[in-house]
Amino acid sequence: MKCPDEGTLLGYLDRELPADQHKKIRQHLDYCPTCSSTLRELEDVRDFASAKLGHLWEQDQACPVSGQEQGWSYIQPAIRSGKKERTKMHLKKWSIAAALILALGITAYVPSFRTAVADLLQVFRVEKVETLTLTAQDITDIQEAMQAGSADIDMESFGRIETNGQPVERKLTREELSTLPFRPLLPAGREGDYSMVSVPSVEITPQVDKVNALLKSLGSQETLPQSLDGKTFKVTIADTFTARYSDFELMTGPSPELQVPPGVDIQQVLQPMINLPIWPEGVRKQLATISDLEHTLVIPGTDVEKVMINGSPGVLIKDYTPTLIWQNHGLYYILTDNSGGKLNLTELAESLE
Amino acid sequence: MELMATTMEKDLERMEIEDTLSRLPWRDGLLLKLRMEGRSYQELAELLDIAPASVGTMLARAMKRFRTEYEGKEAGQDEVPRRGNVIRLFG
Repeated sequence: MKCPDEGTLLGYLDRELPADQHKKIRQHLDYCPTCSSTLRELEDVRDFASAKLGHLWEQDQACPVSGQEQGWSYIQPAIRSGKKERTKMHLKKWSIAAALILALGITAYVPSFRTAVADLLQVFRVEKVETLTLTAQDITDIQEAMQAGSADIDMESFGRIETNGQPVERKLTREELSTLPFRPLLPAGREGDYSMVSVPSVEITPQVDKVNALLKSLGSQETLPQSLDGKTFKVTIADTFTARYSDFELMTGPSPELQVPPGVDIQQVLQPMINLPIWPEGVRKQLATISDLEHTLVIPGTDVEKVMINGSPGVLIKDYTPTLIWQNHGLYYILTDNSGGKLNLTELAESLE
Repeated sequence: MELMATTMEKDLERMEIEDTLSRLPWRDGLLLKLRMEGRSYQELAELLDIAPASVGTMLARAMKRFRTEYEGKEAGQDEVPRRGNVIRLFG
């Protein structure tokens, strides 16, 4: 097929095209770097507009996955089908759903160590990654289950989410790589652009009454314990190294940590979310097969695959910007294909030194 | 104090966004607002009386204009920057 115009590519990105046309364009993108590049630019522009205008339209709305393809694709079908006067409420609910999905990832962290000193925070750290495959039917089922809930929860009172600043990026020379606090993987014989990004931490302080009202409206029999009210959870992402090349980029950093207040059992937070009735059977079964969910960062998606990278489990996200995420010895790696899908990310990852 | 600063930043950003929208052609602004409300391409075509096949093109153009206006640069002169690293951490 000849190259589609920008409008059609945006329709593809927004999942607004008929299924057969969507499939043809997906196949076209597999071998057309020009269209893949255009698609990425459109995504950037769309994410920018979405982030800014979403902020205006739903001010103070804290949507953790704002600007991401996944978040958009989850939210989009829900608000599209909603009646006008209910649309805003649906978006709020979907933002919360996205937050819950993300929370499965954020809170599913391994207790790398539990401090022996009772009055110190518990620290949980990611040790492996796992897929959670959502089919189109799953998304529809979740959407319908959420629409069936009757409570109109105000996201502003859901809790407080704060960051302690903005990310700061600092360029690095090749010589400075030896000063990093960890040794990143790099491709042999290639020079790239190197940088270090300091990422602000995020503090989440839930209002338990409001969260529980939401859980109940979704049919949950389980709720968060009242003792969690006002307790602050902190997500810390250490400085992250990025190496950029013409056809891919690789991020390396220490595994993110979740600090949980003293006396809080992380299972009391996880279980009500995992047992929510809104999850379709297929999703529930997948969660059940992850025997050590608390040791796992769960990555949801419609086209994700488990892979092994030199003996370490990873997840390959196979969209138009294929991305491979894996974790090994306390470091996580995110390898992104910027060539329009020409790279074999698994082979590339295994060749890094 | 930090919360107060955050609120002020949000108010400022809101004003900037509203100002940007006001400087766009009215149909672009309307298209973006309706899209943010969650309207489908088909609904946008009906509401604005345009061909469904043109919605994507008009939307792409409106988004680019919005960004260019917001960033205060002339159209076509700036490269679209890469997505932020923070997003990519979980993206």
